[in-house]
Amino acid sequence: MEIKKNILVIDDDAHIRRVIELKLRNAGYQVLIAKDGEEGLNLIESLHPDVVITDIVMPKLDGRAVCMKADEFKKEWPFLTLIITCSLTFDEKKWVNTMKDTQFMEKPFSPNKVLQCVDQYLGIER
Amino acid sequence: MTMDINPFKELFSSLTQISQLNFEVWDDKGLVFSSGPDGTDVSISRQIEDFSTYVMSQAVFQHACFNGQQAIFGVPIRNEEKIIGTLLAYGTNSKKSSKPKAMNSRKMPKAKEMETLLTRLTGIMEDKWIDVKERNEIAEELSQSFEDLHLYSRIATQIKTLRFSNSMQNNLVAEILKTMRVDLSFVMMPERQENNVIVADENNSVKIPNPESFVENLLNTIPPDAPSLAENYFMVANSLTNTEYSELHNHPFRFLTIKIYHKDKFYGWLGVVSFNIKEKFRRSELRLLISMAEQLATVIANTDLYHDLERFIINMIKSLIYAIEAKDVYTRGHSERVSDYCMLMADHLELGKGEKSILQWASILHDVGKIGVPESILNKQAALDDEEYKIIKEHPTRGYNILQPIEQLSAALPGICHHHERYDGKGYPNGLKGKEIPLNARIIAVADTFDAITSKRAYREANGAEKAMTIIDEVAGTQLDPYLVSVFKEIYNKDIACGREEQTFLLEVSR
Repeated sequence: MEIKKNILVIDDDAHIRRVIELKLRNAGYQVLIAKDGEEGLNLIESLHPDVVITDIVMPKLDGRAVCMKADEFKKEWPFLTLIITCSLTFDEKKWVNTMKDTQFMEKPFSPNKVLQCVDQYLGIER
Repeated sequence: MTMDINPFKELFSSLTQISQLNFEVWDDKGLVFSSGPDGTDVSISRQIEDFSTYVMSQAVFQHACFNGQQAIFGVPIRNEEKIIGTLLAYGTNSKKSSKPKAMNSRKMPKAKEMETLLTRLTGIMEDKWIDVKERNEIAEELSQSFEDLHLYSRIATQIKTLRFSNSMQNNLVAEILKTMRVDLSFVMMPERQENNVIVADENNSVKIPNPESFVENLLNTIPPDAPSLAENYFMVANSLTNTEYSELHNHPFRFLTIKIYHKDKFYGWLGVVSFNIKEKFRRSELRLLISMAEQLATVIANTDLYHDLERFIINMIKSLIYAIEAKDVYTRGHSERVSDYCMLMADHLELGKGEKSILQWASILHDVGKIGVPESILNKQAALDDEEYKIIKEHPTRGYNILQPIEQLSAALPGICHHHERYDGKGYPNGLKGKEIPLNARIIAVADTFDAITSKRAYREANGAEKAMTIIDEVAGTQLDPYLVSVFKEIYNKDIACGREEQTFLLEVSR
């Protein structure tokens, strides 16, 4: 099954990128990869992905800044931001809650659940 | 395996631009990729296809002429020894015009050189595909370990907080359902049916009309001689391959269950069912469920042990109290009544569960020190002399000393030691005054006084409850804490007065 939806994965950890990429690609999605927040943000702006999966702690531009900027983009076109990170602090939960279409998952995460979450947002039934 | 040509398209296109050679990839179904312009002449296309089929059948480099003079070269493309297609090359000009323009034979590459080039190119492609495949396999394994890690981290939290209560067990079973992504999870214990838990995914398209009987059937169908039972588990990977299990549900399922087992004692089964038979139970999932079942069994065993101990202690204390009360015929049932009154007051004072339990121990044991007082004094009909009175007054301290070695009762000791202190400071043993007297001791004092007045004594008959209330009211502020007296009045009116008559009657009969 091929699904014409772009998913952007931003993480500085190669093995995490690889696992998410593989899971989503095998499920039929087109997957884009960015190794840091800056690269990620450029890809969001140029390619308008349908879902952005991002870490918080990253070099150059951290996940929080990416999410803030993404929230502005969402005024122009909708997409889901899925934050995957080690446990969120209370403060972080607060700002995550103020963002549009933003969810989070804690590491260690389940790749199956990531796929489930993406499918659900995009209305894909398997 | 399909041939992923995407990574090589650019390479072939650039080669075409510099070499005037078209590169094409074919498989047994037809053209997969061509580096040349679209719209190949059908008749040429047909000839090329035949050539590709020929290369595949010969399985080595081939070259031929088509359209009379056009040279074409081809090598097979392999994937793990199996031929899955061909890589072909021929001059670009052949396609541009229908008028065949012979390629200068000097310009045309020699067959030997073409064989080397094409073999190298397919080699690169094959290596790349093997790499991708291996990388995907590694990523798949990594993905599975991510699932395991996620599962462990979620369940470990549950196990840490596991107490043997139904709600906790519900949480654990629900968490297993969620994290293992199964359709049904359960804990079934034949001898503790009140603790059975079955959680089924309600959103599932496959329905289980009666989960309880379904699970019972699953467990009853386990062959008693299944070898895996020696390792405390039983598994059905696919119900379709097992006639007995296939009858239990019309949709194929897989099933895994673990014995809840601790030190030779079998408690029941922990298990999961999934209708997704495309996936398998992983070794790590089995290990995790086994360790969860072990934890569960340990918690159950410990809870049993705890309850046994608790019952043992309560019975010991009861015996102790019967021993004291056996000496003093007039105070039979006194400790229990005082304790009952104290509990009513505790509710009214909104004491916490822990505080209440301490007060309960203190009140039921408040007269334990009387064990050291001779019967002749306890049951004396005449007034006590100074020496005898002194011995009686020692009973709170004696009680304290008797119970002091029991660490678990240490919180109850102040209530026992000071239940004969007076609010005005004229009591014993320490002459504490007002709020210096521990709260429990002040509560017990009120209840104790009321019960003493309403009970028959060696030297007098029992007084009526109404009279007792009047007396208590009179000593509020001198002997007893006035606030607690007011509390007692309220519970007396609400809880005691109505049931009192009947109670007195029963007590009289038992005497």
